[in-house]
Amino acid sequence: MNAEEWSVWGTTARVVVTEPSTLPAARVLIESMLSEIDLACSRFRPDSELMAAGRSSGPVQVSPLLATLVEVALRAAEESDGAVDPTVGTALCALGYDRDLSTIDVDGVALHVAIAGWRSVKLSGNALTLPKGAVLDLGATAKAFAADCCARLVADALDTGVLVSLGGDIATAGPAPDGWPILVQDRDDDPSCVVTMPAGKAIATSSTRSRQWRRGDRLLHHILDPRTCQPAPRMWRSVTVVADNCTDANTLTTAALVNGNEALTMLRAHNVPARLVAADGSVRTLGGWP
Amino acid sequence: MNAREQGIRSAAVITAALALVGVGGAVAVAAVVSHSDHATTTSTSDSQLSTGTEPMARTGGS
Repeated sequence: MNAEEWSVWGTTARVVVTEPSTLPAARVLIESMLSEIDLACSRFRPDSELMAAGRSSGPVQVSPLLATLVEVALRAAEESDGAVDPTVGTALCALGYDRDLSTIDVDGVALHVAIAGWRSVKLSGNALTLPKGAVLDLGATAKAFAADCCARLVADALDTGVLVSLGGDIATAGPAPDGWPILVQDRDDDPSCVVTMPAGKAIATSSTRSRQWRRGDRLLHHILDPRTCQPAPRMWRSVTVVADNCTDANTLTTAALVNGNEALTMLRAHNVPARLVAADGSVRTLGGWP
Repeated sequence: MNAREQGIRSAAVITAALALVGVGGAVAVAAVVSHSDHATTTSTSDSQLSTGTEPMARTGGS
């Protein structure tokens, strides 16, 4: 085994490979992939394809990559009954999260705005139509999807078992005879455990205590409830799910935080291994979590 | 051009290919679209999970 870590997208990327000689190439491939995805869908850079599409009126022909990323986001919205809605980007901007977290203006005012809703986003082939003034936030799905794609790319191109972590959204591909042991812990003062996943599985954690920022007298976090356009209530500190791919896992963890009281019912219905840390630090597990 | 079709395996060759012909983008798009085509909704009745030691990565809030 061999591993490397580096900073990207305001968080940490980590790659672990079972064939040590492939590590340099794996990193090159992952960095290339992430660079392409960032240029396609970042809402923090004015030259991204997504931001350019938002400045246009009417349908815009976008690249196959951006079309796929939007399709994945809309699919997550549908499968989560709207709990994971990419149009919350508009509300995130109004709350001050319109740039990298480290540079947010803490003295600004957190405004409340309504959002257009994911059903107002139209994608036909590669033709994308956004509601006027809408800013898509693909963060809930693009990072997890990127982890899935990076893992598949490295395993296919380099014939190695691989784990790719993007800020704790973890995808694996290729062989791993002993599985992948993962530390499950959000903040350092949270309860922790180590769970071993078989090869090919993915794991994601969403949190109401990470990616926080101060705006005036309010401490905000990035998981918005599309119904209120405000940060979801902190009923759960964090939710972790294991699934067949990281996109599904992250969609479920984000939806669980938004759903609050209904999270356990929702996760049981999906029959996935899950671990929830409540606001008081107590832990609930379900779905065969060891 | 596609890295997998060329049978590229070594780090040096891949690095050179990325720099010279921009193959990274093509590979990335191919992988993304391929992954999207095969993505399915997860439902796992047998979790196949176990407890472990010596973690190789950490999942935390994102």
